[in-house]
Amino acid sequence: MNPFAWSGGKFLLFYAVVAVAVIAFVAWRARGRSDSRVNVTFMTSDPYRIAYLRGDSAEVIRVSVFNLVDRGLIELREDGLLVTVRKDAESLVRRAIDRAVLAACFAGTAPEALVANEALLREARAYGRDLEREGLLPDAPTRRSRLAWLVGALAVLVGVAGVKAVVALAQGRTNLVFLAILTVIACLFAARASFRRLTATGKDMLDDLKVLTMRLLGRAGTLKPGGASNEALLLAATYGIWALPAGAFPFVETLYPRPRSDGGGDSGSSGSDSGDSSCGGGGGCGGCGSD
Amino acid sequence: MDRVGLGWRGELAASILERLDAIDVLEVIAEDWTRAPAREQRSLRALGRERPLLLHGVALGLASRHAVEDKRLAALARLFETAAPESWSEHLAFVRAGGHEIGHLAAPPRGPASIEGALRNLERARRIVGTTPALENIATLVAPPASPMDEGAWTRRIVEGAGAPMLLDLHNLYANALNAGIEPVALLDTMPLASVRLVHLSGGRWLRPPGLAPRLLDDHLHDVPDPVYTLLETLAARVPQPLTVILERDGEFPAMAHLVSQLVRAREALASGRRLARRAA
Amino acid sequence: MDAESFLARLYADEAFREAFTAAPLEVARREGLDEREAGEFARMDLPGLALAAESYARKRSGRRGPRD
Repeated sequence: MNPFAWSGGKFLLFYAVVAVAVIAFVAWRARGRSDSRVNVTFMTSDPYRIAYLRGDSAEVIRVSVFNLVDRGLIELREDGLLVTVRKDAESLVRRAIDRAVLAACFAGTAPEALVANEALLREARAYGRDLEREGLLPDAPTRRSRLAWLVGALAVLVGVAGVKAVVALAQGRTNLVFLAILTVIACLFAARASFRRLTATGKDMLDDLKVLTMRLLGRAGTLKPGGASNEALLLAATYGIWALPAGAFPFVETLYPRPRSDGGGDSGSSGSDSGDSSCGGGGGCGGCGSD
Repeated sequence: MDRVGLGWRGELAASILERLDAIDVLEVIAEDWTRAPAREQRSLRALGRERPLLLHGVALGLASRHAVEDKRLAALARLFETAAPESWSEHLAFVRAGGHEIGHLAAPPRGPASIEGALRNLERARRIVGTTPALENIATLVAPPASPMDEGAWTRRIVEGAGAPMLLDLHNLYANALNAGIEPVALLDTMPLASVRLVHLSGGRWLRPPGLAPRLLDDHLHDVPDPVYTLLETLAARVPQPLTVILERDGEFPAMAHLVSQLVRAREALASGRRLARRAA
Repeated sequence: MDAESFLARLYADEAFREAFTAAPLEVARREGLDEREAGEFARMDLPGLALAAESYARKRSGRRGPRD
């Protein structure tokens, strides 16, 4: 019953089982426990937090640009540059990222240049720190803990394969290619499972926001452009700017053409962390006993 | 302490979350969520962390001589456990019978059979869900035939028989009174007011069929009419217990500021009623 | 048929409702309501019944599920 004495095919099967168990364990450790202390209004009170949680710094800038164009504070000129329309625009916004985007647009800037603008990215990263403090993104201790577990997992995966390799070589068998390939694949999966972008709390928060706003997304076509309410901004932050209907927000595709791989929902880098929510709730009883 | 809240509608999500300062409680329609996956149902807990959550059923059909299906009660119990609301409510209505699905809340013949059936159904609901729902009076465009009892007496028998709190829908009461040609306050006085804990406010529109008397339809698509606020004031003056008032709006949504102004009016009506009661005492 | 099921059918079954509206007492008796109930149904508010049934039909056709 010594697995290291097993023949090639049988040992590879054994190794695969060990690898799946190790990867599952690493994934479970990396996910952590969901903590419900953060309210959804913490996120909705500044929708850029949602954009960062779903995406990254560049996504925060894209959503800010969307918001400012929708509010008529910046506009896309025919030469393809975004320019601030009003001199007093900065006094009409209250978030630092919006002010920074307005400042960057005074002289005229290409939309793509904005999402690569280091000053703006720095401003947007402040949201990341907010989210780390609230446990929605992994903070430094969490990342260190994840790394420690990953190192342990890699040690198990490489160690088991190494022992088998030594035993096989001692027996004069040199065909270790499949074991080597399997080991590399297992290590890659373990690393991927370990570096989840969101914590369990962050993933639950994003899922909750999507579930609660799904009905609003359903009526996005009726939203009035012009920043009359916070609805378009909330939807853009939660689902990405490309989720908004082109009929109501035709400038989106001109500003940032939809990536070919984008299915119409999320943008940013957290697609695999996003839930597929579909409810939203809100039919109402529609009148009691009538109409 | 009296509370004023709003029915959660996903279409208004952004506005509601932005104006929670004006909202004490949120009411969620149970049937919007009973068939949703557990993960989505859990999102209601996130809402419940913002404001106390009330679950409102619209399809059980409790006020019926026929038994409510177990699967409906079980689905509601699952939702109740997952969403962890403060309480739940349902209508004193039937929605299906004899294999015929009416599709909405209807008033059953008001007599001993529907009373006994309702009490049996309520006992099963209490056993399966864990608590007794608050019971809501419904609006009806037609007085149910074969009804030896009037609405107030029938409602009292069920509410008091079940020991249930009452959710008094003042627009339903107002519409039924006008459609029956009686004074709304007179109808109010026939209700089990001591059991009222929750109140619904909503609006409706007048149907004017050619050659026939107009009838008020409760549709939840219009503003709360002034006389309904007056009824709320009257109710607040007549009962000592705290009331939780929910504004219902199911479509043709106005700007949130407009809905908030109706919440403010509800608060004013409650406060005014309480002042009247203090003065009378 | 009990009175409640009879009323549900009046709301949900248009052909049945038309037959009832044409001859209320006969239809109520034929469906097994007792004489008192049949008499009360025969005296029911027929315009109100039509309005309510129309309203319920709209509800049935426009009903939204949780995923709509």
